[in-house]
Amino acid sequence: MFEHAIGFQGQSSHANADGANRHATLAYVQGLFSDQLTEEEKKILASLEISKDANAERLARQLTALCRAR
Amino acid sequence: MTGSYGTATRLKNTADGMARANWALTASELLQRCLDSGDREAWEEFVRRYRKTIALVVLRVSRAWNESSTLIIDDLVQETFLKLCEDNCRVLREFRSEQPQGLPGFLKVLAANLAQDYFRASNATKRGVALTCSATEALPAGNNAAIEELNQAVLFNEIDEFLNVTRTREKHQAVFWLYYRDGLTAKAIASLSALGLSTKGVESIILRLTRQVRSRFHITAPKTRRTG
Repeated sequence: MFEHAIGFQGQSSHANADGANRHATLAYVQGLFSDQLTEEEKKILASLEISKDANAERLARQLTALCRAR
Repeated sequence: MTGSYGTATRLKNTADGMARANWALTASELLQRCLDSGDREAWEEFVRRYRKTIALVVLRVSRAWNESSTLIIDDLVQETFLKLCEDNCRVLREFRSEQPQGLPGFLKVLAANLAQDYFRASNATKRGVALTCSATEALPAGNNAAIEELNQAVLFNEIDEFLNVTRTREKHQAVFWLYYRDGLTAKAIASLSALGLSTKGVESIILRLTRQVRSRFHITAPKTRRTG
């Protein structure tokens, strides 16, 4: 359960939450938008279809068509 | 991740001569070209420039839900891009930011909300819980000019310590840092369903903590400060 994992559910978000939850919450929200990548993340990103130029070009063609179809 | 695709596009754009090459455009210029001309090469540059930004956020949300399928991640990345073009690119046309990081910040929030909605809906299907969050409500990241006036690296640590010592709620700390360190607007922060806050609520937290921090660190308030 996502909310449970990040400590946002129930009383865990209150001031009396334990220290681990407190820091896990802050770290999760900030880590989600961080530009710093771990080695594992780099590997996974490189393996995605969107990382392949042909697929990115195909997506760009779709976006162009959608944008033109007003 | 750029590869020959990016290189070919750049060479073609350079060869075009008259107009500035897409790769040389700022984020807002590129966005404007995409929206105004519907130019395929501009959209190629847009995808090339932001696919990694979007994919990274989707990947992180996916992992928070214990999902590691690259097929699902790829689908969500594509969905995020397609969402941008819905309703005559409404969310992009309504996007405004004077900050260089505004557009990437906006895309991150959009991607995070879309991915969270997807996993929440998947989970709700299993558990019979309703979906509550709209990804299109995410708005641009923006102004962090006030913090730029500060000596960031040292001061951030001191502020962090101060917020801990004063027993500031962790959710409020997250709001404060998302605003000042990550450049998200109050509205963008409020759109993060996990926080469960309204825009007014976010603004109130930012205002209160900013006053406390300014008072503690003897920082003079700037003449103008946009919170939305």
